[in-house]
Amino acid sequence: MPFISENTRTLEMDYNFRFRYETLRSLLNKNCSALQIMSDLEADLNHIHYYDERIKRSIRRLLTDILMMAQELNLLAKNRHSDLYETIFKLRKHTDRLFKKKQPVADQPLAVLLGRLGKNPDPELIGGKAFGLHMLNELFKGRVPPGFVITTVAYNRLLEKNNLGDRIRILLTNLDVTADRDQFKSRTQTIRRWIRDAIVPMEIETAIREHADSISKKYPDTLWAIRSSSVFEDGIHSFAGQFDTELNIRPENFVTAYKHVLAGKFTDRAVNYRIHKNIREIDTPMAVLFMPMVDPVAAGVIYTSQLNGLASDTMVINSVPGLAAKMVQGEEPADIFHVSKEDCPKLLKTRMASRTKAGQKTVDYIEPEKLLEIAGLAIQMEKKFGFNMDIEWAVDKNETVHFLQARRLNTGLSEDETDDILKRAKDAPPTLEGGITIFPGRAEGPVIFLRSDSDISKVPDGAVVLAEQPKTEYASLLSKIAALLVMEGNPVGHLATIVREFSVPCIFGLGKNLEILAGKNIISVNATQRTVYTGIRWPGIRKSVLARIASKNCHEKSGPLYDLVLKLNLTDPDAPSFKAKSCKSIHDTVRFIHEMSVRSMFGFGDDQKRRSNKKSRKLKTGLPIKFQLIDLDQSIAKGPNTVEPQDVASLPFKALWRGISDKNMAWPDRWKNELAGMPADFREAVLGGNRGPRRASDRNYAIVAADYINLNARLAYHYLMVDAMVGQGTENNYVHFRFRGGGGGDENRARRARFLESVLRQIGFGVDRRGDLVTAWLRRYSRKDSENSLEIIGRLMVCARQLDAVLKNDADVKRYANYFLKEKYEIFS
Amino acid sequence: MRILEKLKIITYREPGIRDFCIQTIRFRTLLENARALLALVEDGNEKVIGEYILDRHYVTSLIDDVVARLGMMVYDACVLAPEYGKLFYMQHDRHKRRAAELNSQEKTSGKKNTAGDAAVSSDPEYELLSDVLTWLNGEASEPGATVIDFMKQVFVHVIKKLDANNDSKIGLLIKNNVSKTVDCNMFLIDLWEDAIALPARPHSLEDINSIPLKLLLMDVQGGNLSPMAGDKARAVTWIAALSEYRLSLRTMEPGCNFHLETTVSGHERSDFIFIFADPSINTENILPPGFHTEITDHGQLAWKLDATPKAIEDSLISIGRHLS
Amino acid sequence: MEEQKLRIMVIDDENIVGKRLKPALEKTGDIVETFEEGKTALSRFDEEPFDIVVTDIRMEKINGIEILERILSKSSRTKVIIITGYATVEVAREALSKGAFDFIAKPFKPDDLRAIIARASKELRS
Repeated sequence: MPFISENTRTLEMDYNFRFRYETLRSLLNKNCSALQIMSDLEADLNHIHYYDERIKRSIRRLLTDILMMAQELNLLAKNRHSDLYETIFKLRKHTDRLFKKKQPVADQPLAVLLGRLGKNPDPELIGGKAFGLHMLNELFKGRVPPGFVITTVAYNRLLEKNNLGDRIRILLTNLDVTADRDQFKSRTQTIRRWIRDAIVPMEIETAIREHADSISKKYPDTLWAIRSSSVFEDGIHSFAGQFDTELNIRPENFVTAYKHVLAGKFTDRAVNYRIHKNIREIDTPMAVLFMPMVDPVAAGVIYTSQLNGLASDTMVINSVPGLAAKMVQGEEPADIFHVSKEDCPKLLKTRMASRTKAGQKTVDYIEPEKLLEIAGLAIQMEKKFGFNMDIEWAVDKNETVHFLQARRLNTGLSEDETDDILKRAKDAPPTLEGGITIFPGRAEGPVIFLRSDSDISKVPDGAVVLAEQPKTEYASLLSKIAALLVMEGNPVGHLATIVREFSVPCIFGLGKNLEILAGKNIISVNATQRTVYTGIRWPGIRKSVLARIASKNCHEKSGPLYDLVLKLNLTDPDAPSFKAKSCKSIHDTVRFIHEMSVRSMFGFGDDQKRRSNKKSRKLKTGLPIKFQLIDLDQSIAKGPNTVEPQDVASLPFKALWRGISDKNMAWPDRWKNELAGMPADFREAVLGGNRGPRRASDRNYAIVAADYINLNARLAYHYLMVDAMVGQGTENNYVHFRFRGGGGGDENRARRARFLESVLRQIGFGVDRRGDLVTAWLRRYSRKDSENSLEIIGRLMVCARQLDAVLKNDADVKRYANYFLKEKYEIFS
Repeated sequence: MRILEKLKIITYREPGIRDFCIQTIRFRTLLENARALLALVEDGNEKVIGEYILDRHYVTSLIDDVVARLGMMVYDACVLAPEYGKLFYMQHDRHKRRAAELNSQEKTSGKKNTAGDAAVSSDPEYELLSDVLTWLNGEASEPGATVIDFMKQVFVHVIKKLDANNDSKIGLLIKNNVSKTVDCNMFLIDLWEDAIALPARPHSLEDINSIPLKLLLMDVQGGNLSPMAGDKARAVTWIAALSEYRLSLRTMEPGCNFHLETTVSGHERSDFIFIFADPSINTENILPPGFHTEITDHGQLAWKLDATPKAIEDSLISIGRHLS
Repeated sequence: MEEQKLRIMVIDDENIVGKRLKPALEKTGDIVETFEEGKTALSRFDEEPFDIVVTDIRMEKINGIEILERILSKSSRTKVIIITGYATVEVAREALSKGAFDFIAKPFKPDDLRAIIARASKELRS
């Protein structure tokens, strides 16, 4: 043998034990690495297509790693889990099948003329708005102004040439608008700035100029409108008002305006919208429409169906003199006309805007015949497309009707509560009545009145929001409120459109009387009937409101890869279904292997006698917390079955314990029971009596070595894990932390998770938060920093339980995170 | 192509196949860890030339990364060749101790002023890096004393163990299936169980979905593949474990051990060719230029890393041609 | 048009950085001043703002983000380039969102930094 024989200085370790230790370490390392790869994958899938080579490579890497992990587990557990191999090979087969699918397209143009889109233009090339216009143009030749589209190919090229893809990805990963509003705003602002400062590749500039020139011949001296046409836009998701439109642009300013429109993709509203709907950046590249402007005498919007869900034989036209822009932003009131929905439409009702002079019977800038002409064309359009439509129109000086935009109208399904309503007809009269239904339905909740200077981040979930004007920024609230009541506003406009998408019961135009409700605590709203009542009127409504909000915020991430790779199905290690065969995804497999390896280390289920040398020992402490310790390299002084914290010669353990046992942390008495490992009744129910704890998940345990700790704890219904390596004099340390909040409702758990995220980020951790699961990592920091972070985690462990009592709404998250960081722990008791 | 007639597929229904595949993948993992180790050494070498602005943290990270990576490699080796485990760990611990010494080395400046060597200035960071590189790949005072030398020893032991497994289930299976009428046999096993769906009788190279095997066989003239040339050439049985981008090819003849591992995925950082050959084999006749070679008592190691995909592909075609 | 000389400030508490960067960056004729301490660097900046500031992100006494913020508040046109000891994404994120122009990770070659400085100076002139 070519090896030098060593003498006394080597630690005389039993080889088998050493091998088990190294196997466990290898497993735990691979576990961390797998979790990291999966977390990166999830973020990447937002920006890269699933069939991309990089994704394929990551997944193959994952599969190889878990195969090795399975082998290691079987080495540890005497081949008891050989059925894992079958599962893993199957996963490889299924993922391979996935990758054989879609491949990206060949060379596509940077720009296309609207009139030259061919029979079947690709909406992914030209975006939703342009696609809609193309369809309109096919139907009504000559009514859609000419124009051209700078395609999504150009968008992607601009990002690539300016190295923006990665930078944007870095800023947008793990972003949540409600968590830290300032940070959110500052990041989106940075991205917009980058885009506005970007250098537009020469070929794109040329494409813009050439296409514009070919149109300008017919429209000399015209100003242009430049509008976003994003993929997904104007389809099922309206993105209404999310992006910018630049009007009155001169050709010499095209490039700047183009960039401004692109920057609009990253307004707070737009980013928030995509995050909430789980729409990925990679799926929504932006094309841009360039159209010479019509100089209108009148313009507006027509809906081919009225919106209170009850009468759909009426169409609604909203109109203003001149350009419609301000009307659509909600800044200018419109004249409203109701028209019958038939082949020869008739004018039914007129409601004039407040700007008209008193006594005026008709509007002076557009004739009724013209309105009916518009209505007639709209009916044709609806018949052709097959669904209700929202169409933007304009009439020019020559009395020609033009169409500028058309999209599907989201009328919402009305809830059929007519019986119920009739029954209550004799009850107390409504506190407030009137206005216009924007979206029907019933809701109830606490009142919040938003003034112009109100902080919208303070709005609690399930509130009924009252406002003076329909500001588009309220869009970010829609996913979590019960209902919206607004003094002014008309049914067109961006906020209205988004309200419909989020299906929030809503009434506009209630007038100054809305103030009556300001002082109320709880109100009940019937947006279908346009009535508002004080107090709780319909039992059971609150529950369905909260359910709607919860489900809205739970947009399932989907895609072929999620189910096979990222989705975690095996969440409960104590369930009988926790088996290798039940692993449906890579994530399941990783979870399973991790749990089993820890159990194996403890020898649960094994003949205890064989483990006599290396059994676990109980940590002796006055605190109401129980820990079993396993010693990997004799870092725990030899002795009886119990051990004191000071006798554990493990650097990371000591640091963690300093935090847990910090005298400044308060431990309420009620904890004593819960922290003893498990609630007693739970133990009974699961284990069936006298066999004693059989699973690792029953206890809090820690595996320690001189420079290492792997700790798993179940405190009440929280589950947390700490895996850390902190060595003497080395600078290549790491601290990994995982927390899953058990108790409380979804809102509580999410808030607890956000609190942890906020604190951990501020002390330097990288954090991934998914619902109530927080994964955090701190790598390659100095020994001192790593130890400090472990102390803080120790304190967080103690704090976690108390968070429910203090985190009442989203603004509390930031506040209490600051308290914690400033060491004001007494606040938490 | 006559070589196609020699290909025989072994399915997973045969006993021992799955374990064989897992061990093959484990050996792959060992190679990948070794590669990462080589990359670390190369990175250190590149930095020490002196043009970089680096900090002490870089050097200590390098030390820790090496120790970690070495540990991973040693672990893989213990899984594959447990009988050498104790020795592997003893040597590994020795390197860990040396690493700890280097890590705690005091910051000194101007200590070693190599005469006339102004480029490697007296910055303490660079001095430490120099010391580290000596530990990694300096003169080996005894076998295994430098990290790279230790790595080579580990390789050799593991490969010998793998070859000794010829008496195991897989070896017996092969031996029982060897056709007496055919003078060369190549047994094909899908590493990931039907993932690449090998046809029962490949009619042409296109039927084989494993890129590296296709490349290897592309230029094969006759129907025989053998690492021995001339009059020493004899009928050799091969076993090939494959996947879409990977090939693990070995002879099953004692005394004529030839082992080829390769990944051809088009991704420069993952692609490589690794070869081990018995001392009795003349690798100069087989390998095209561009391979890094190392001679040990027990055999020759050769590898090609960080090459363009085309270079790897061409090498494989060339090797195939020379083997036939 | 004659190119103006750039005034570049380098801040890093590790001696080797300033020692090697100064001659390397001065090759193009720019004016380079190096500092091993944040406080002294900032006082010098107060006297006379610099076009470009290259600063380490993690130093003993004062951290690079703080320096970034103070410099930008003093002179919003100054381009600040962050040196990270290892390319951690979290750090990059924070720096970029607070207005840093770009970042570079150690170990790096002075030429790589010069390329970033060249880009920065192009923006300064536009």
